[in-house]
Amino acid sequence: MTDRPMFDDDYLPDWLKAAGITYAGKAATGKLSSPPRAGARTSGVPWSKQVPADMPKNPPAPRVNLPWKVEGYRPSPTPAYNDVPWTGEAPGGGKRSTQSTPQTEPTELPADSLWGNIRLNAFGSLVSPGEEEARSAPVPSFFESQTKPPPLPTTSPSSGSGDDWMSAFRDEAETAAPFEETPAASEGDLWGESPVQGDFHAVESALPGGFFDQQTSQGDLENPFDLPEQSPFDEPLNWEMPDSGTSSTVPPASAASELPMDQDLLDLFGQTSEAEDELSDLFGSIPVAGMAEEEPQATPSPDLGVNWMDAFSDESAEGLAGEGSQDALADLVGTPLITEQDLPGLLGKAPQVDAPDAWDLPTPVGQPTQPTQSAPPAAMGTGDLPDWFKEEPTPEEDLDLQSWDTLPPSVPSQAPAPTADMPSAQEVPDFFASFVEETPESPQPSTTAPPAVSWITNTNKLPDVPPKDEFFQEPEWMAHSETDLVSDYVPPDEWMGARDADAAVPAENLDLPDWMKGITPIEESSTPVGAPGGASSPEDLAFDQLDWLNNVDFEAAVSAPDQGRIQPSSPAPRAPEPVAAGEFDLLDSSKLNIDELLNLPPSGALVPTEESPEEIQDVDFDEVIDLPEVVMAPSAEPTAVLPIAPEEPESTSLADTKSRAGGSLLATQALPKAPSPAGPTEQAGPLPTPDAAPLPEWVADMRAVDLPVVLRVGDQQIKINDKPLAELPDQLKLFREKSKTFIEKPAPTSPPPTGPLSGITEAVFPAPVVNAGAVPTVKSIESVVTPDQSRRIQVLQNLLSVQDDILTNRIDANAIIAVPETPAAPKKGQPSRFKLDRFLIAVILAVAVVLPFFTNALSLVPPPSLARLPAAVQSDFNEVTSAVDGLQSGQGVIVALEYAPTGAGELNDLALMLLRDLIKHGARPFIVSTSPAGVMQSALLASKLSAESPTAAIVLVGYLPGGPLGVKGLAEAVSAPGYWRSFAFGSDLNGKALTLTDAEISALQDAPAFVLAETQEDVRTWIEQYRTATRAFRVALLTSASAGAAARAYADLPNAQGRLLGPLVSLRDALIYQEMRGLFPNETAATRAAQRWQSVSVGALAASLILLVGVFIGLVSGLRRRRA
Amino acid sequence: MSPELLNQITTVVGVALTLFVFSYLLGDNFLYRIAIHVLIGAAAAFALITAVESVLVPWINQTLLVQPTQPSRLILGLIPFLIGVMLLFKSTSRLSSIGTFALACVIGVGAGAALWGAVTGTLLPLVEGTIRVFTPANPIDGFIVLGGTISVMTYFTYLGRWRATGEARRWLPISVGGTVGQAFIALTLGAAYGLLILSSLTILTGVIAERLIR
Repeated sequence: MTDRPMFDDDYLPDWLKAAGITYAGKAATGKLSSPPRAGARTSGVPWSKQVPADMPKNPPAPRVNLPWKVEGYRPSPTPAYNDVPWTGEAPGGGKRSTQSTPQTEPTELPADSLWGNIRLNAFGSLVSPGEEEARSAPVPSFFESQTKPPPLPTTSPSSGSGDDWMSAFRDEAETAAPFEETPAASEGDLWGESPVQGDFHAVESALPGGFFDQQTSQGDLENPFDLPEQSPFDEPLNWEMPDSGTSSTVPPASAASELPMDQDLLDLFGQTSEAEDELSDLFGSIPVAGMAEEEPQATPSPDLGVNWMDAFSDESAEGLAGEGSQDALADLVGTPLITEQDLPGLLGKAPQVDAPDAWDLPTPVGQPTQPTQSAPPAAMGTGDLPDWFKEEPTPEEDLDLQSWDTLPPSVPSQAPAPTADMPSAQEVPDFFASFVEETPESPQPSTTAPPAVSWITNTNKLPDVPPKDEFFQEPEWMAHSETDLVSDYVPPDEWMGARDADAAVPAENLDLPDWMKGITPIEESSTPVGAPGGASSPEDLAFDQLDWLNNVDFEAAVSAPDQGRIQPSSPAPRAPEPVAAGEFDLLDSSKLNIDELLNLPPSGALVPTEESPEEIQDVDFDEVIDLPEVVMAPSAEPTAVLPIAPEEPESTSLADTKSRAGGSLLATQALPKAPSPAGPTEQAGPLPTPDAAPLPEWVADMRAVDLPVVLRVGDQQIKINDKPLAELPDQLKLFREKSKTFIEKPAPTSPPPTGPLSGITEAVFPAPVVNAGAVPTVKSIESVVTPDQSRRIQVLQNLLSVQDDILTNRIDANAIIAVPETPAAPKKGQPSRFKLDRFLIAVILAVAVVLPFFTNALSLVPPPSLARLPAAVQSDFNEVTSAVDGLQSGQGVIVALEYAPTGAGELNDLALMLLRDLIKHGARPFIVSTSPAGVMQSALLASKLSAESPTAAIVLVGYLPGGPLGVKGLAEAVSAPGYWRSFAFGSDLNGKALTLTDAEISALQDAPAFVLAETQEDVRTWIEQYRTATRAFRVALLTSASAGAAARAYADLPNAQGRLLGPLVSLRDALIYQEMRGLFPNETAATRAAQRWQSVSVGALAASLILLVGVFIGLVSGLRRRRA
Repeated sequence: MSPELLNQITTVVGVALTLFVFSYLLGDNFLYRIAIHVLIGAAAAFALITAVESVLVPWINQTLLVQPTQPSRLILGLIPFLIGVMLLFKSTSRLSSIGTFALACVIGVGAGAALWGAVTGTLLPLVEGTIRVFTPANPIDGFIVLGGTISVMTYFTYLGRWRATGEARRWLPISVGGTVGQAFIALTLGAAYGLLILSSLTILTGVIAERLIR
């Protein structure tokens, strides 16, 4: 947050400065101005950062998703422009009348004529073309922004809620004050235009603390200066606040009856009409000096420029003690604004004002002796205000009421409809009737719902204003302390019931404008102003009401009028006990004693605060709250009261607001003495100890029940208002007291002097050892355990015992299994124990393998023959032999020896058989291998074959590094000439260069690659990798017995037909192939081959028998072990 | 030394080493370990000699030392050495990251080639063969192959539900199919083991026929 004064004269337009008008007042007169308070209204406000210091005159309109922006809502022709003297012409293009809105026959102008030509100015107010023209004249922007359409009355608690009906007028007064200071604050403006301070900074400075925070939290306001133009739904900020007399003026009853109105806003109108009724009643007893009669004269001429300000200041500013200072008005009038006779009527009929709007009120409270910073320097028309209006609390007072938590829970507006009870033009008070008569020709009927009286805004012609000295004299009403209001708490249901009775007019019967009927009922929720999710969001205040806040004299509000006299228009402070409600009937004024009502001493003497304003400003609100003496019994000392709600949801607490606003609100001397939480009837009882709780008891009791608890589920939200403490049953109260004592934070313990936790404050001390004697005995348990519980305990114990037994048995079983000691492993170097079984197996296999070579007695199996083989196997032989027969003489053929010496005994026969056949057919074997051991075997075979046939042309290509990649590279080398070809066939096994032509190498594609594979991996590697992306070369598989199955699986694939040849497996197929092809070099070789076949057969038989015996022995051993 | 004498020496040494290996039937002994060590050492030495003579020397001659010098071949010839040098850095923890790139190249290229070959050469052909095995002439084989394939794949389906006792219980169809698949796996492994025995016996008989009997 930036540190920028809220009310800085730099924000004022030059013309105001030229006129000697500052926030502090009119410096020229010397009566209102005073040295600006240093840091009194600094920027502890959160919104200060959102307003640039160099705010352009017409910045982009803020984009505000204001609550009243309802779909389907159509703006009715609203007299947004009335007789504002400085705006020149009407939006329709014609000269606007200086007359006010007619009351009898309001004319609805076309929307385009009114709204279509209106656009938003930089500060959210509407600007018509006429205004733009007028701005060419020396009209300050300060007043340009005041031409705002009537705010859409939404359901803001301060406006729509029925309990806030009176605060509407209070706010009107506050808002009207600056408005009336300007010449535009004529009665014509009253209906048509929303006076918004043109100086945005002034408005900003008047924003309450946490305003923008709440705006952003609700997500409605992305950019306060980004309002779309031509959008009357977004702009009419002051419409949000029907209680603001400056922004939403009250049309006459007849005019209102013709206005389209939303069903959902019936309460709102009813409320306002009710308020009007109350006003009419009120005015009957309150002396109003020169209000309506003087309004026409007070209306400045339309073409009035800066000069009018001078005249204005000459007329009124001189007599004004301060802008918006009801204090001065009280002194000026000389009579109590609300007398005791008036108060019962007000209390009885008027619903309590929902105070939550005060949460958004500006928190700083100035001193009465200092000039205000919020109001424009123009004369405050308080002189024309009625007495009751002058009694309206200043924002500070409102804030005080808020903080006192004396407000009843917000309820939906149920004020009576204006059609039934709204007085006609003839029934309105004189001041109002005169106003009506003077504005019959206004072509722009007001569509604003909130009824107001013209004198509210027509106060620029105030009578004599008391001088400054007189103004700062402490009036009598200062004797009425806010603390006394606590005892005047009226339960919300009581006054709400009375109000509901008045608000029983059905909404359909109300003549509301259509645009108001489009408002959904939820917007009429009684959410307090500033409360999260409330209909009257802070942004509403910011753009609808904050202009009037800008004109409020917060300093003067410190010495606000008597809170007791505010009582009728504001909700009574909620006391801990509903004492006052039952002692007298508020509706019956004859029974009401103001002293008794306000719990004042009979004398009713008001003792003014003697502290200087400077001292008041320096008060830290938080410190005030924590003062222990606050919780003590109420004192009769009159002080300005600013209690605080102990806790607030979503940072809407007053304390938080105050802290953001800059802090000092009250002087310590102005602190109230806390009222007794028990009320007058229980003051004799013991009071709770204040030092244990973080907040005083009386503050804790005054829970902000008026703030609803918002429950959000998805996009739905439900607002629930807490019940006031007074309405709680006794049991809950008792429980509450107990819970408060329970949640009290224990005093910090001193650090332990010794031990590992020594020196650590609030360390948890070790729990003492449980004394065995303290263990409850069975009898003691039985005394507290019912038989049914005992039975259940027994069941659980039985279950646990069963489980324990199972676990125990398992452990025992494992122990039994683990008992047999395993023989110790022989030490290294020691001879292993002789194993007879292994020796017998070795002997049996050796005999079985060796004996066939020496005798024919063990010729158990016939020699292999192609005729006895299956047809599929015979086809394999045919494929291989056909491939070999297809080779041309001298044609190269790849022969891969993929076996190590471990497989040489099995595959060497196949390799020799194949190589002999290839050599026999004149082919040229290119022996390769992906294994160095295979290369070694190839060398051995080559040397052997070379010995057998010296003319054999065997090419030892050698080693293919990379395994599968080598095979892949070989395929690439064979497929096309290139680098890989030259490298793969560049040298032989010994590194000697091979002189092979590309034709010889390319011829390898036509011949199959004969792969002698020992393992399945070798088979798979060649089948998978010996191919290119476009061609799969043929592969003839000659495998060992162990790899035969895999080779068979590949070869039997339907899609492998023609590519995979074979397979020929092991010794059997080697013998058959040799027999077929006549490859035995001599008869001995054939005999050896036959003997070898018998040897393998006998050995396999012996091995099989050994396996079977071993399986049998294993089964028997297993059965024995299991039996054991 | 005449070739005949050398042949006689190698035959005697071969017979001796064979007997040393056969001595393992009596247990792990010194002679067996001598034979194994000689075999491993000789194989490693031969692999080294083969790699040098069959790979490195031809590579250098055809790339780095080729005449006339060709830059492309020169660069190509340096790449394996560069990768090899980078792999040497894996021996040090501080510079092992340098060899990571080389290792990634080797593993990545190998894995890519293997994967491509496995899919195109094994997986798809086997799947196709499994489907095409259903022929009217031999439907039983088709059911056996299909049942065996599905049941074996079901056996390796590790899905189940934990019970309170801590053991996992598979769904009944999965359990039954897995059991059948387990039987197929046992038969396959038994056949492979039998074939391995045949291979061993063949090797044995070959050694006997060539070395002992002659």
